[in-house]
Amino acid sequence: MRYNHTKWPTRLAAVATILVMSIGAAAGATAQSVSGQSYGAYVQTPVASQSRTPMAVLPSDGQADGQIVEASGDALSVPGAFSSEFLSSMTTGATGAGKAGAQSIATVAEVSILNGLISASRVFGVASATRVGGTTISDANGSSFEGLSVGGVSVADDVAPNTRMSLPGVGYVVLNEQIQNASGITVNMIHVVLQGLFGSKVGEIIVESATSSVS
Amino acid sequence: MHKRRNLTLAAGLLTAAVVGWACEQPATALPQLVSPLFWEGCPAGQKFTGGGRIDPYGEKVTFGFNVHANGACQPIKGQLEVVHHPTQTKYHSTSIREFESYASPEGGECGHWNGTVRAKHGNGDWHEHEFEVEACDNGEPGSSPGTGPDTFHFIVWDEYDSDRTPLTGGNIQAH
Repeated sequence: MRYNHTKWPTRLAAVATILVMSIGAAAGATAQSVSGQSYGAYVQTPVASQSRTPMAVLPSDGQADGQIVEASGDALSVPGAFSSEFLSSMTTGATGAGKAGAQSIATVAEVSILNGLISASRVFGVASATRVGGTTISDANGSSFEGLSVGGVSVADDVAPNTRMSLPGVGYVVLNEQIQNASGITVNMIHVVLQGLFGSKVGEIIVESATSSVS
Repeated sequence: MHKRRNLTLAAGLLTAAVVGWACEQPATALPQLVSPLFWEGCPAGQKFTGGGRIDPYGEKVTFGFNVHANGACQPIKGQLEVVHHPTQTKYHSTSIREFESYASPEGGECGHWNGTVRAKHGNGDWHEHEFEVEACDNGEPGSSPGTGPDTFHFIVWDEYDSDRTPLTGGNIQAH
């Protein structure tokens, strides 16, 4: 009987292809790293500035064991631009076989922006990113306001994401700003954009920012 | 006001022993959490991480933690941060003493541990307390705009008890 030698290389190539695809799929399903960041306030105006503070950033090492970073401050004041009490920032995250996640939380009390143009008794920013298998889920659940007022008008605590309000003579503000992509989410609870003549951006103030992502 | 409640643990003889012991002790005494007879071991995992927000009794509490036990179910690493916002109280763990894990009532996995925290009320001084936490991973993503599947229960002995509360935001993961 004549033996057909052409079948074995074909079968071997098929097995090798299946093995490579399986390994690739497994690698893709396991997150390699998580990142997280949160801070209470950032101010950049023509007359005053404050770097992001208090800032918590998740380190890139030790994520397999789980990491948590916390930063806080009793009060913060940037004359003419921003004041607040009791600022708290924290971020936590971990990687693992088949599952990984990061959670970032920023909170602040008694906020006053631009001499009371915007105020709130309490602001909560929460950003969560989770990866299970090959699927990434991110959300801003738990983000909310208490006692929010814009231009002297009360605003509901559960402001819809990316709500933009005009600030005549100043610029505009985006409330509950949510920026989402394939790996995670950034939440800026109050994002004031200062505009000069002809609408050009001349500064900004960000209050309660939280970012979480998985990759 | 902070409420004082008992945390119900494993059923059967262990529960009866705990209740019997508690009835004999003054209300402010610390529980005797002795390993290994009292604790369940780690059948539901040795590493838990998470963070987010709960709203016990309508109050807002934010938290973050990670806890990691070894093969003998002994805690080797961990940290807990909790903020009770109505009173501007911060809690920061200084030690983790015992750890166990078990299945949650919702079919997920719970981590349960105790230790010591330092607490600061507003601008006051730091002072130490004993604490206990139960964190349950009941699914992903962990929370919903209303209440979530994951739960968090934080007790500071002689001071505060959040009761087991579903997450309003964030996530808890058992690894």
